[in-house]
Amino acid sequence: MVRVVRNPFYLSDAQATATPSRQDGITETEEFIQRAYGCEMIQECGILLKLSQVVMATGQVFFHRFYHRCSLAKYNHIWLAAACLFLACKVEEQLRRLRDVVSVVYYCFTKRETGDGKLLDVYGAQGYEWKTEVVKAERFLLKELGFHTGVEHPHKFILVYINTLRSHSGVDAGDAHWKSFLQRAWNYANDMLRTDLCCRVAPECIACGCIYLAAKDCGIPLPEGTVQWWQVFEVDREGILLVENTAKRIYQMEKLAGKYVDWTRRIGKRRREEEHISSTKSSHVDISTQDARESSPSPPSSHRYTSRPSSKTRHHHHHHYRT
Amino acid sequence: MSAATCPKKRYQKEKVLGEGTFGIVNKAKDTKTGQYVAIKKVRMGNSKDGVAIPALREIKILQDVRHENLINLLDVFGTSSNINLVFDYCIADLEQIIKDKTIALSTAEVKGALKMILCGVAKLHEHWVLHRDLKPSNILMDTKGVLKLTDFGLSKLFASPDRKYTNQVVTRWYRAPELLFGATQYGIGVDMWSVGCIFAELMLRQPYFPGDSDIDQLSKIYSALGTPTEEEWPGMAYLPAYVEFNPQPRPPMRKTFTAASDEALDLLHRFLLFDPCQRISAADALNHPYFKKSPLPCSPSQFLDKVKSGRLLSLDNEPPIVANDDDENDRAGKRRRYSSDLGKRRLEF
Repeated sequence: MVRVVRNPFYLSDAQATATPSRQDGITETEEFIQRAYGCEMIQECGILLKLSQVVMATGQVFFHRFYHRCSLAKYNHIWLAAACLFLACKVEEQLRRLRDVVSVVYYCFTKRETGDGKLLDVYGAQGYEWKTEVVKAERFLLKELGFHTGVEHPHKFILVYINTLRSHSGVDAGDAHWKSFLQRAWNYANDMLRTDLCCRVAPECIACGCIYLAAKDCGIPLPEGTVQWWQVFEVDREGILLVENTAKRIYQMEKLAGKYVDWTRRIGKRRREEEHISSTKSSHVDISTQDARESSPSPPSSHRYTSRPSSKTRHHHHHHYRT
Repeated sequence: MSAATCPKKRYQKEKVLGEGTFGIVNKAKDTKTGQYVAIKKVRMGNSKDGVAIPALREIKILQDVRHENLINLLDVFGTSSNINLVFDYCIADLEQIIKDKTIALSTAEVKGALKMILCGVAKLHEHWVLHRDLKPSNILMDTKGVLKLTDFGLSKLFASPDRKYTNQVVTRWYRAPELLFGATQYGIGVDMWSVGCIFAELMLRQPYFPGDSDIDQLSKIYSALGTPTEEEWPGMAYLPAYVEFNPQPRPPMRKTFTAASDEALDLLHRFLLFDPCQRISAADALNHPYFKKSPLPCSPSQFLDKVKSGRLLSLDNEPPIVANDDDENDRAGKRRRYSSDLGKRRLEF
């Protein structure tokens, strides 16, 4: 099999929990939901743009990698999701126009938030704003990725591993039961993209975890013995367990139904108010009611960027990366 | 920020080296290591489609594939409006070396150069990357005389066998016949054809097939190699842009390459086979008897010494256009290079 990416990097458990968003007071659950929200946007928009799954998968991996380097409060995740998808199109050589990506993301976003998809006037002021913001986000994304754009997905490993297991079990290639088993494992792999699993373990491990889960669902007996089948593919039990737990978590969270929360605005507001309080030492401001008022959804626009002082942004563009 | 951490301050620009396909290349001094580097600035400005794809391809491939005969990507940094790629500094490109007739390349030196090129190409192909724009001006020589392939803006992974690719790649003179016939599925053969053209150019000291249109390109190839028969190249008539030529016999190569050895001609023949599937691979070419027979390929340092013996590097500090008595030649060269650039960069964006 062709291994395309040679120098992947993975986070330790401690690194994976101490994300930059945590420092901005965003809880793990909140972050989990917003990450899933952004990833679902990438997936939905990718389907509307008639991209192949590999592009969406790459985009979602970029998304997770980015938010391990940068807080949700610092960069709006809708624009970033658009930028991830746009960059993934280029990296996977399935080009789409910027305005197409932007208008589809706008449509999906408004549809999710208001129940009614709106069309973006790509030549109007808002269209211009969205386009510039996505181009900006793309550059920011590349910088935070350290210009590493190579991504390896578990899907191809699933295909090879299941075929290996199938021929080992002596099952015919056209077997319908095994086909649905393959499909199930494949679906698990797509669902896993909503979590930051891709930043924590190798694609081989995710592949084995997905096969393990799918085999349980489909009641497919996999070879057992002193050596477990996943050990043949150089994956350990911890890896399988991590995938299993992550899967549990996804389907638990699904019930919470992710609602869009713009942390760039919330945190900024809170910070400003804290500054205000500390500078004036005046009357008490009830932050919780402020928050409640602001959590009503509306599309991102530039005024939400108040938490991102322009000088700081510029500083970031100059930030330096070794390759 | 200290000089070491701020890239703008870390690299001190010295002069413009040239204009690449997607930006300006500057010579700069790395204040941290004291070494010279080449910085390729990719303009982004107000581009409506964000970061340029050639830059992304180049970064992606060069991060993954590292080899002595491939240009080394040292660093990447972004400023507000640009992406800057930092490369090893190279002193000359192969086109300049071939054109400078004061450098007399012996058989050993041609072998040495070809071997270095083939090592780079073999490494790329081993990592499933097609260069797709091999030509002398994309092969640079560093300060130690090592040749390095550069400009990966057209490079692509070819891991999927049935993917369709654009045929509008490779500068025309080095473009393989299947590309001229509009093939959209191709493989390492396109790079090997280019290597063959470069090999011939190293021996002839002038381009082997300097066509000025796609049709002229084909007729130049046919007049040198004869028209292919259905046996030599099965399935050629099914290519999208296939044009039939009046059959021409294959003239003996010996006529053009008077001084070449039998092994050299055999290797060249294998590079320039019409059927892309039969063309020799870079790894096989390195095992060809040509490289085993005396004179053996020269070392990079010997190659460097030979290049230094010519006029090219003694004029290093002067702008190349001021080249005195050769002015007429130079202008013709410039014009030719310009015309060869025409119709070159039509990409599938």
